[in-house]
Amino acid sequence: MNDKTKILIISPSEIITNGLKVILARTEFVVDSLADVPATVDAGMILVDPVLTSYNSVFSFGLPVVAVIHAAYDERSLSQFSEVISIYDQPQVMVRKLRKVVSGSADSDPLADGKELSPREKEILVCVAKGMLNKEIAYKYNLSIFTVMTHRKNITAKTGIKSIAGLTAYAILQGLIDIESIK
Amino acid sequence: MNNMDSRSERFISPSMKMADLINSEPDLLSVVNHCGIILGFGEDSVEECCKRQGKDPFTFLTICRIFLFDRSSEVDCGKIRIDDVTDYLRGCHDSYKEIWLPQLEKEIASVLSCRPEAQRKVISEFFGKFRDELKIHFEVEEKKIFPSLYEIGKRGRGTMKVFKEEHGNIGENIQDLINLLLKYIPYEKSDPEVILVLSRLYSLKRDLAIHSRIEDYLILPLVRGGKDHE
Repeated sequence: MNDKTKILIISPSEIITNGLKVILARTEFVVDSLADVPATVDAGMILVDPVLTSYNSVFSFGLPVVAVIHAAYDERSLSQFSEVISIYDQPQVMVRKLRKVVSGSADSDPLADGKELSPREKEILVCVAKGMLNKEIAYKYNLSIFTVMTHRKNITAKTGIKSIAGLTAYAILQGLIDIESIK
Repeated sequence: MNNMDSRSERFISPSMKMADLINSEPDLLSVVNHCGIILGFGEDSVEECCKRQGKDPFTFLTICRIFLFDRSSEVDCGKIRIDDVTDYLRGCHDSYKEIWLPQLEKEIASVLSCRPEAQRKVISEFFGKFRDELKIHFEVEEKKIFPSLYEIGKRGRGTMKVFKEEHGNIGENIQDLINLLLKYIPYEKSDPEVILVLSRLYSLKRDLAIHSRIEDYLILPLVRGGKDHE
């Protein structure tokens, strides 16, 4: 999570490419750009301009793909992207959207993509059920707060349970924690 | 609900028979109930029915439209009779408090009666917390918000910070309860009682969501912008 995410911008427009580079220069992202879809990609995320007729092939790289749009666009086509940013978005909105894509897809925990909670997620869930704050959990496991938040997002995504009371109930039902220990 | 086209939206009019409206959109029974409209419509139109029972037809139909189509753009808050909206919201509160919640509590207890104690306890505590939070939310609305709405309407403007604050995570909690019952109780056999409980929870979730929507579309604009009404 702390690694810099490499972003590849694919657009035939230099205005768009350079504009995005200026905005992203102030962030944790490392940016590269191309005018058309290459054969191989060395990046963590792709930003593509859907005016490119070849844009469909970017999905074959198995990476999150974000559409960069500059005009009205067919909603159904846009639904296949991980996210859509518009060149009219405020820079902070754009960056927030891209961060969301990264935190949704990347995780240092190798089991995080599975259906079941990973061992680390279970540990964090137990802490949450015991009422610990993100800061305290981060300190306990020597993680960044951002990583703890990512784990918590993953726990909610997998279980469908959002509230702390609900997560506590889940932890008890799964036998991860004793009902008496949270009194 | 979202795939209903504008044709069916136009189809709802004050002159249509109330019974036809309900027969075509049975979900509106919940609106009829929360508005306190008494059944036995005979051949009366929506307008006749509402007027006979002292309700404003425009407000009733606006609530029906929000219920069915989830659109705020065409809502004309200036024409709404605010007392009818608060009656609707109070009606919701009453049916949740007096019917839905006690019934659900009893049924959940019955469904889990042969499960281990820890499971019963976890779910009943979660439900209890959800129920109590809901009741507090209702109480704040009834005691603080509804009485000040009339004043705000009269002055033509006003703010009510408490309203937005009290308008919180209700839907989230009920979805959590649904997921706990749906995914994480290791039932031993297929049980129609569980299915019934879940169906009721989904209905309550939907009804609560619409309750919030009515507040967002019809009450919040008054609190924020303040429009005159009669």
